[in-house]
Amino acid sequence: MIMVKPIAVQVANLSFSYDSKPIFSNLTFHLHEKELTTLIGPNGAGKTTLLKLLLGLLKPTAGTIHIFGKSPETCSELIGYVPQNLFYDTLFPITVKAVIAQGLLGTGLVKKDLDAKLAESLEYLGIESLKNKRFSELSGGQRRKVLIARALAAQPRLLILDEPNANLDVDSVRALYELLADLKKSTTVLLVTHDISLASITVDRVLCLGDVVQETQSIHEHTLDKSITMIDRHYGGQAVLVRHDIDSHEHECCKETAIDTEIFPSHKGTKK
Amino acid sequence: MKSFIDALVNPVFPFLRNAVFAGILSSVLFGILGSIITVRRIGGLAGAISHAVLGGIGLALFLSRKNIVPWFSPLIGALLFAVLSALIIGVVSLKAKQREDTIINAVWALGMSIGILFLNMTPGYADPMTYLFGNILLVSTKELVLLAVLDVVLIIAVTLFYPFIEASSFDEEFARVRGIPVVLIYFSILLFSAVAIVLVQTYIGIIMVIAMLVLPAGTLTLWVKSLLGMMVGAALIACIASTSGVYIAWITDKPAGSIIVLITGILFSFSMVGGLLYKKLLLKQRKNLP
Repeated sequence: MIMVKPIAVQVANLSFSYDSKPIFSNLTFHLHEKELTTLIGPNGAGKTTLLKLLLGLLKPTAGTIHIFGKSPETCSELIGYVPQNLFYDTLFPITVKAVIAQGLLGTGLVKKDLDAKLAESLEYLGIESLKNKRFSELSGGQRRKVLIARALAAQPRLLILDEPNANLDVDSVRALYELLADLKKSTTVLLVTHDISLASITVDRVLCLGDVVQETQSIHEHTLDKSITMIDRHYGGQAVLVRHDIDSHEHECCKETAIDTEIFPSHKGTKK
Repeated sequence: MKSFIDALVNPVFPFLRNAVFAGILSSVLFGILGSIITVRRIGGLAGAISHAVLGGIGLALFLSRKNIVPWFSPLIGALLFAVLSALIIGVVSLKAKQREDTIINAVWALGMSIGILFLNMTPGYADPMTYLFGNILLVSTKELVLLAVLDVVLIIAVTLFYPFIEASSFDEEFARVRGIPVVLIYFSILLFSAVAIVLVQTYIGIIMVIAMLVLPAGTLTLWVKSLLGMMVGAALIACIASTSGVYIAWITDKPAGSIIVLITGILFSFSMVGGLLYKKLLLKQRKNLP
């Protein structure tokens, strides 16, 4: 019997509009626990908007989002987020340690536990030696590691990374994907990228955003062709082809399990 | 120096003591709020609030001297305009970021125009220069008490919420994801700045208050590793500049506000030049490494 991983994120009939301009209507997809899913789509497809909806920074005009059974606004402690931007104000006086500590805000931990979590995060990313450096003094790869450490500090169950390989050299990208491969053993990972042709071999599933249907973007799960692998610098190693011509059925990956509203109670999105 | 110290303890010159105390108490505000304003890059916004204050002062003087609203003091007028302009700019900046620049300039210019107009229509003598450039003779004991109260409230607020202030200033989006009330923090900063600007404008003047909010903190941007370090350092710089400024003004009989800003400006320039030279030296050393 095939064991199917439980669902971590369930998006059902999601619609969203900026003012009166519709961006999505009736988007439905899900992510499985402890899988690395990549969300791909060309620039302007709405990846960042979808990501903001998942993070609870925007509210859907219709439809539901459940993250481990909760609405995004009520589960900030379950989500780790690594933004695309690496280049914050270079004059901002802040150390690596202080940046990572931001990931523990709102956890209610006492100082001793905070320090322990901070040390754990620094060690996991191998950046203990950088902890007292100014964030602005770091290279792009080091900054990305610090931002991942910040996102992981509170040990989230879902990690969302927005274009994590942007502005990184080949070695840093390789290190990043090695880290993600290790991380998905314990965490659900959603990686957002604009590269639509290839995906890292460590990716389990790919969701494609970008086909315009009746003025709004649609989402499809496409097949990863793992029979042909190639070295690609954007993925720091082996990459596989995204077969945009082969659609996977929404529930094909989880035939063995009950999904959707049977698992999670209904939670209606509120109007923006 | 001896004559200055004698004058400080001489009961005949209470204004000098008040000026020194006002400088020390203002330094706390300049250090803490100035650092936050500098790292958030909202100096222009603080500038607009400080200039809009003149509108409130002019309106209050006009209405009180005409006996239309006799209790309407310049302090209340200034507070009203400062808080109003902070709220207007804050809302526009959140709801329509692309209009922020326009609204900042509009509030800045309108506040000044209303102020000049009402001061001109006010019966008796009302010199706009006093409000624009400040006058140490006008610092009252009541204002010192208010400054001290604001200092205490600000220190308590920053002590309690420092990690949230730092996080929302560094990466607002991430702070929102962590559930930090970034909008509340933003408006609190604006309102604290508005009240602080009103309380220090008598001492340093409307035009120069913005310099004291950004220069001491700006002096340290290249040299400190934390926002807290910047706050403490900027407060110290402001305190040194204020006290020495009042002293130089006393012995040279020149306006204290201008001298204080000039001292801070010189320190800022040295810091910038020093920072650039230090960076060049570091690069040179790195190149020479095997």
